Amino acid sequence: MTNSKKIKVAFSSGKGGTGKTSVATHFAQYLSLNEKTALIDLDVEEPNSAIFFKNRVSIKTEIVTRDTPTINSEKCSFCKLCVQKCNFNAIAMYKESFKFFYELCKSCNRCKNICPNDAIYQLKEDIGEIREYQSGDLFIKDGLLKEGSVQTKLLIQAVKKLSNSYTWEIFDSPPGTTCPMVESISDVDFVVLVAEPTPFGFHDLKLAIEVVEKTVKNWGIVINKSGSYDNIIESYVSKNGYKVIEKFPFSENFAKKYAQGEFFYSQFDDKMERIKNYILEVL
Amino acid sequence: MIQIAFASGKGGAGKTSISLSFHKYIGEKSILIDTDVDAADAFLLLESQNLESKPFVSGWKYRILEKNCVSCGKCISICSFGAIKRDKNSQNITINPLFCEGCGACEDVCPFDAITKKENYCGDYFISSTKINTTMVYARLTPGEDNSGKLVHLVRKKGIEIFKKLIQPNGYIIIDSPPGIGCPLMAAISGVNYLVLIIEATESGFHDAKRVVEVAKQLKLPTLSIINKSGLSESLDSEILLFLKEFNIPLVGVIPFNGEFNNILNKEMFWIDSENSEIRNNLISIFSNIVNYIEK
Repeated sequence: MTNSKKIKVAFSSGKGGTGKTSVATHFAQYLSLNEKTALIDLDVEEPNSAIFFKNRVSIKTEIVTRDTPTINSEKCSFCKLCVQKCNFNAIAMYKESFKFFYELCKSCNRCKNICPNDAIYQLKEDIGEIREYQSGDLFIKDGLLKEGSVQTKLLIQAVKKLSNSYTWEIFDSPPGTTCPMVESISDVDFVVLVAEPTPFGFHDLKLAIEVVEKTVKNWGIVINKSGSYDNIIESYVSKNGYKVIEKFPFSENFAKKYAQGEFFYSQFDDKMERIKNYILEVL
Repeated sequence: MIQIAFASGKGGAGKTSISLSFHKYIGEKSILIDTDVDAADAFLLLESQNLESKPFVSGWKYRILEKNCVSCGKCISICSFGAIKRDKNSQNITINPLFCEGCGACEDVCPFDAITKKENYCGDYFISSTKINTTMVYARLTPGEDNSGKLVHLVRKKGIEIFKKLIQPNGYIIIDSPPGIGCPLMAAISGVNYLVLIIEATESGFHDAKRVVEVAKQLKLPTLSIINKSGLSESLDSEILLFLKEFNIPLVGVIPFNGEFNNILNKEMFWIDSENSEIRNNLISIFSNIVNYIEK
């Protein structure tokens, strides 16, 4: 693959707090020194990537909305067809009054489509915002889900849409193994699973492997906060023919810098270069 | 029955380790519900024997019945999720189950009865006995599924049923929450008697915890707090204290950063069983503060 082509890489993990953001931010920063790079934080419930770029300049903030249905009582015959057809039980109707449960509504439009009286119309609901920053040569974008909103997936989809093209698009995934995480890796070229060597980290790594194997062709593992439990992960990895691309050590000094939202892996440019070369080689 | 949930917003802030230790501290008067249905971990240290496991079925997945389908494509444009595609060569129409949200809008417009639906199996829940003679409930959502909030509701419901059978009325339901602030978190903490916010004393951890406070305010939950990994940044530590004061959130304890915590975990031990008496005594005093606060 030549560098003129776009390469999308997601940093993911089953468990939270393994170091997805740490590795993704440093990797993106390293790439941006020589190539056109975007860092996209898809953990819209708790976006933390931008925190590490103290010199970031805000370029744009945009409110994201979704369509939610409501009823025009003057047109409605209260036939309850919408109530019967809604598979999410998001509409209740009693005599001539109605209520929508928007936390259950998926904006599928079925109620609007089937209403015989054309009585259903759309409202806009704020689900959060998208923010764009520039830090040196690096473009950064993230989403911030509104507190109380459950529309994580919709906001992730909105954050993923970029207006410019970049040689590298680096995604910082949300934790977990279900819908938001899968959405974040659904069309990437390579997934880096960031593993924490603890019993919890090991168990969640296995869950994450189950997901990436079903979703993407190319992926590898980075061990972060390396320590006494590494060998358990490494023997599992080699037994199954997987690959540990790189390891980052555990240190109180890193934890201190992380706590202050500062870069701490800058001394590991050689490791970043090796991760980059591995990805290019595989693709 | 006191329902108490441990939440942090950020992952890796210490929710599961602290919930487990609190469960051990309270003992047989309590049950543990692990509501992190994406990546449940508490059972790794706690489970002794699985007593019951059942599938979790929620919502629908739609599918094309090839024998009836004439590839008219009416369903493609009605689908709000882009789940229905026509194959360029064969013209065959298929629904991608990963994108199908199960709304059924396609069924309404199909003139040939060529769309059928099936109940969606999307995970399992488990009830288990534990190594400390208690009961725990947890679940596992199928990777890629989108019904985590509903599964969290289900494990909480199962937990309450068991609690009512087994535990004296003044006991505790201890809830280990998922990370984030979205649907699964809200399902895990809504209606609890107390939320214990675990603030990881890092810039990210503080940022994420503040968002949980906002959600807790909307849900009107009485909130206590524990600061974990303290001492990494003095200025941040004092900023967190100011925040807690301003929002009137009682602080029940501070856990200093210590690399030893991962070693305890790697020996598959609870933090509260640590050989280090400082760690042990600090946790005991934090937990007794929580109980005093609740039972005062």
